[in-house]
Amino acid sequence: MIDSIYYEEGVREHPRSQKLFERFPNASLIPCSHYKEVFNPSGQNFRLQKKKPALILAKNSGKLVHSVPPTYGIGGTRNFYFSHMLNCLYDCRYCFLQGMYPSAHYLLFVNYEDFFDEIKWTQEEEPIEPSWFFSGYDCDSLALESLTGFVSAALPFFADHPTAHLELRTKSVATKVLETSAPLANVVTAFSFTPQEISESIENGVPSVSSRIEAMNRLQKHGWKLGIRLDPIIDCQDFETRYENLIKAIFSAISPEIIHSVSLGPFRLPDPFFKKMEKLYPEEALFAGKLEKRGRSISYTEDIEKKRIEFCQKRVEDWLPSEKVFLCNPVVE
Amino acid sequence: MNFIVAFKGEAQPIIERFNLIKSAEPAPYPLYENESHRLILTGIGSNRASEATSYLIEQIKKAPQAILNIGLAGHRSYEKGSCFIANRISSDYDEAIHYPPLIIQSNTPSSGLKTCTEPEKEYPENIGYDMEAHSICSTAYQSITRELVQFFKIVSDNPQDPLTNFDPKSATELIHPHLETIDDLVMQLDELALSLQLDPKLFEILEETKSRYHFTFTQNHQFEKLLRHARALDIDISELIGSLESAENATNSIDLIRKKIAPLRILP
Repeated sequence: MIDSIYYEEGVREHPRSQKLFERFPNASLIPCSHYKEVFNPSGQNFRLQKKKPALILAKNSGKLVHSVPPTYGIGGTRNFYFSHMLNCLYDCRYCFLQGMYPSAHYLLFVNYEDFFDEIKWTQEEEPIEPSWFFSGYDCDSLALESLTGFVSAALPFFADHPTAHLELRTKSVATKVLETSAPLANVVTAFSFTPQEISESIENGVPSVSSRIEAMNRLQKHGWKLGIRLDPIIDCQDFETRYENLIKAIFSAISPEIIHSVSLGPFRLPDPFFKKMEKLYPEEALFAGKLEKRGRSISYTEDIEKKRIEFCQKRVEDWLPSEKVFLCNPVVE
Repeated sequence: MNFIVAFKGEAQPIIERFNLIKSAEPAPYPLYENESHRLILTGIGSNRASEATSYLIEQIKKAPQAILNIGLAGHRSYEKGSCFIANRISSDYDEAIHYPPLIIQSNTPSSGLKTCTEPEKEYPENIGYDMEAHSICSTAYQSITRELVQFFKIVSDNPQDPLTNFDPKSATELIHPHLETIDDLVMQLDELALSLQLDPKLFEILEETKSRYHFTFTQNHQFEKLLRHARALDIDISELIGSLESAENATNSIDLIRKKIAPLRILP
């Protein structure tokens, strides 16, 4: 799975690095002074690298916890994200990571404890008010857990800090780490979905919708709170039938009581990201859709976007009280 | 595929394998080619390698194409006659370090490589040593996608069998056993380069239409993008060609394709 591991010389002896070296004994180990030497150079092709990503091990010594735009959130007023890893096991054509990062290599920051410290300090700024920390912004929160062990390290921390809330966002079915832990009231595992036909077409490597629903079901039985993310909502042929079937399939299997939140978000990308992605995949049908530039973003035309979101919102609210349904609107520019 | 090789003894097995013919055109560096491959002889050393790489890139008409540097190298621990792909390329004259992305599927081991201004006889680090790779990288990366620039080295000397024992006449013998591995690298790199090129059928329509009407740079870009969208949306190419028969100029060609596509712009 991993044939090459680049590592910052400063983290060579880190226990997590050593564990990964042992896990992949045949991988080429390539030292670097700073991960940016490997990850950042221009002239790399994300699409080609995605065929065989390497692993980069590094220490993130910059700011580790960042504010989330005010239009995003799932009920809390203090929202933050952090990225212990950049890039994802899956290859979803709409994913902004392709437009944002020059490299498709998996960049893992092994200094998890520094992330936990910063989460703690952020939470202590307003100790009574719950704070939300989103972990699946720059990577899938669970897909590479067997390799990173991040969630396994994070759960005890969040168990000790009940006013800090964690969202694990995923398309993975690798839920073992949660199934073998006691459920925490301040952790929500949120599964992202598009209809199966769309997933097959533009979400390469992602487990089927039915296997993700099964994974949710397993977590439901263990008492973990769940989230559902219909974000991005993708315009497609037979839109209403496909999304209706998807929503029905999810809610037929998952009890509304265990669902913490559903969020709905339109397909949107910052213009420079979209241009880069379109250049990487010039023959991708998704990018040939009825899209327009609004402000600094590319999205579906306003009427399509409104219609599609409203449809999904109504269908979700057939199953769930509207207080649990959140719209993730793009920031108005 | 474009090969960069330092001297004739290293190049001879490749020239023979791919039936390359010496170009009759006057050129600052010897160039051998066939319909789909090109090989340039750089001579020894960084400056010559850099200049030859620039010259080679100028010869590439239909981008993107791959570059494969093949040559002999010293190595502290690898056996004489073994081979490796360079994964980290440093030099003794520039602080910059290059990391050629390792996306080729291969059993060939990878190793660090240092480009030296003088032949390295001490092998101080457990890596390979050559005299050209770093400057080829520095030059090629200015215009070619990094994944498409790779370095394949065959070990000619090591501490047990040092450079002083090396006979340049043995270069051909050292390269020869690795021709199958080279074939595989060439095939994979060509496939990667091809995956980034415009579909040949669309390229044909584009060229045919451009030969009929004058397209500005912007119109050319718009037209190519529309053709790619048409392909993405599964629109029959013959229908597209049919639409273009009534076109009168570049603007009209673009409008015709745009109208054809407009109602079909939705993900299947």
